[in-house]
Amino acid sequence: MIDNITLGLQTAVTPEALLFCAIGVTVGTFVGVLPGVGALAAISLALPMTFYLDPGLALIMLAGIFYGTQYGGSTASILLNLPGSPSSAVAALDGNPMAKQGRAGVALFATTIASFVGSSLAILVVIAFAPLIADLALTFSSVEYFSVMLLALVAASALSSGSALKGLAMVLAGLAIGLTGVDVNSGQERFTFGVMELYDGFSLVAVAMGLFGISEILSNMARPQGQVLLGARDLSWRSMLPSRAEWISSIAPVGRGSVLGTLVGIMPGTGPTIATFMSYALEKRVARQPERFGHGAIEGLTGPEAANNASVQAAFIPTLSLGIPGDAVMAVMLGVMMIHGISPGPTFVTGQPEMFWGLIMSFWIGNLLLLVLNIPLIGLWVRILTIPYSILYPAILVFICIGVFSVNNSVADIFMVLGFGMLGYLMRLFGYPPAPLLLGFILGPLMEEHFRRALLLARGDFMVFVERPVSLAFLLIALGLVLVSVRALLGSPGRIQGN
Amino acid sequence: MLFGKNRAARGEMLAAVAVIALGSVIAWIGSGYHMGSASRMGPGYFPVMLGIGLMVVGLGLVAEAWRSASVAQAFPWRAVCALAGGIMAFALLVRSAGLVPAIFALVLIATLGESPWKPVAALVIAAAMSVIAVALFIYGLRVPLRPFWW
Repeated sequence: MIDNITLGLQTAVTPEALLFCAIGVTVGTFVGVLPGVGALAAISLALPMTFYLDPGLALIMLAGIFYGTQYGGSTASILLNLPGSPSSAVAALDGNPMAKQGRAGVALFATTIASFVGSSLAILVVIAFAPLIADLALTFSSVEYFSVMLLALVAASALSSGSALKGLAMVLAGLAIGLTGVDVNSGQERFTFGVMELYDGFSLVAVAMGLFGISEILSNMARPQGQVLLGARDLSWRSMLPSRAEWISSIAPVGRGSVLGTLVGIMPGTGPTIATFMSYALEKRVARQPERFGHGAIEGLTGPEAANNASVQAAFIPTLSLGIPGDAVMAVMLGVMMIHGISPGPTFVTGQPEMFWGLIMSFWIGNLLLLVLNIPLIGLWVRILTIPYSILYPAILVFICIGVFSVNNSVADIFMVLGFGMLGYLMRLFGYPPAPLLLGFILGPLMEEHFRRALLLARGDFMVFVERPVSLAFLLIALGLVLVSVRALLGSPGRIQGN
Repeated sequence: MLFGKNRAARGEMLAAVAVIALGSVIAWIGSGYHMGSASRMGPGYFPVMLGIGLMVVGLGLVAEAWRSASVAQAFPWRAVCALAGGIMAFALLVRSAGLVPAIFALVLIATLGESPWKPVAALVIAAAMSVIAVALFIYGLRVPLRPFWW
């Protein structure tokens, strides 16, 4: 193991490697902070530039962009309630209320630390267990994947601060919306109504930006004008540090989040989005005062952020060691490797150890750089809030429109953003949470695929989901969450459903 | 759907019914696709399941809406129309007229949602954003857009 670390450090600490790592994480953070442009867009745009680079350097830079955006994305979520990427949507749930209470600096600082701890833990796990992990991940079949995705979706609907039923409705709606497009297995166009631009389904960025970004702008515009979102705050070091109580109460969530994120990230087919949602649900479940969640509970921020970054680092394991990407961004990374003639898989880990371990070591260096980079910049980000909203929102609008366009060079996507924005606003008015819809949207096709495959292998026997122990475990946890929510529902008739 | 309570409770009920309607639409369209069997699922299987699920959840939501007491809100027509108009203008102009005109259209129309409309401020913001956007997206990220129509 020490040999591997030394080998990796040799590769990662060369001047070129450090340079590209620094470029990657800086670009990544910046892109992550920008609302409307996420990891996927940034990596896709950076892709052509990597053709002329040495493959190892290309991977280091792209990876830097990837986990850099996780740091930056939570910034936009916390300050503006605009997630930079779907996995950052959870940061907004408690982070934005914290910002509105004037604790934006604290929120950002806590996020940065939590992210670093999460990443570090995942990297340690990778170093220690890479071969074992690859074996474990191989035992998962479609049955387990379906069950864990089901669990994630149930958790997402149970965690919504409004009614769990509304969350569930949004999950189901999201799944259905995610199925739009041409079905890979049969070639059947589903829900496209003959519109050519929908052959590949709705654009993820359009859905995310519309549901969260546009609807947020609309709801802010509906408020009285001339409002500054937050007053200028004292931005000294003291005001950025969480209170002692907050430090202590964050230790356990960060620990839990890191472990959860690592485990979820390792599994091929699951990404940071699932990890973040599950961590939030877990924290809410074990908290002594769950009512605080959604109103600025620091555990609701630090736990998921640790999980976020941990899963992003851990997601490289199945991508690199099995060749199975965890989500769209990993798929692009995979594409980059194949363009350069590298085929990831079990042979990659053992056959090209310099590149594999060099990459792993560069992750750690990149995270260090991000820590160093972000803390001084927190003051800058918080200052953004002192800009009056009437100046800020047109800028955000411009970023969203161009960002959405740039993913597919498609004007239709801009109309999609508008449509989902309207939908998101209506949902807000009636108390339907957008985050579960987004999660359902992302998982829809994947879930169906696993469901189909599971039943195919089991020859139509639905019992297979409870016969296999791991799957059964996931389903039981999901059932438990459902029962808890139902009990809460029945126990309080006539709950006030304000906005 | 006409409940004595208040407009918002009716709105809740309407939303719950909309969920049921959505579920039934999804199930109906889904059943039009080849369904197949459990062991060999067709493209319609999952959608139909989702649609039925939505209808069931919708029933639960109706029950919830029955017992709810909500706070009514006025619908911000001006803001919604301005925003929608601005985004549509952007979408229509960005390829044909160029990024800068599109940005100006977006900002000027979308800010109409504010009362009072401040055209000077809007122009300044549009100009600033144009500079930033052209530098960042066209030169920096190399998005295939032209700044102007020439």
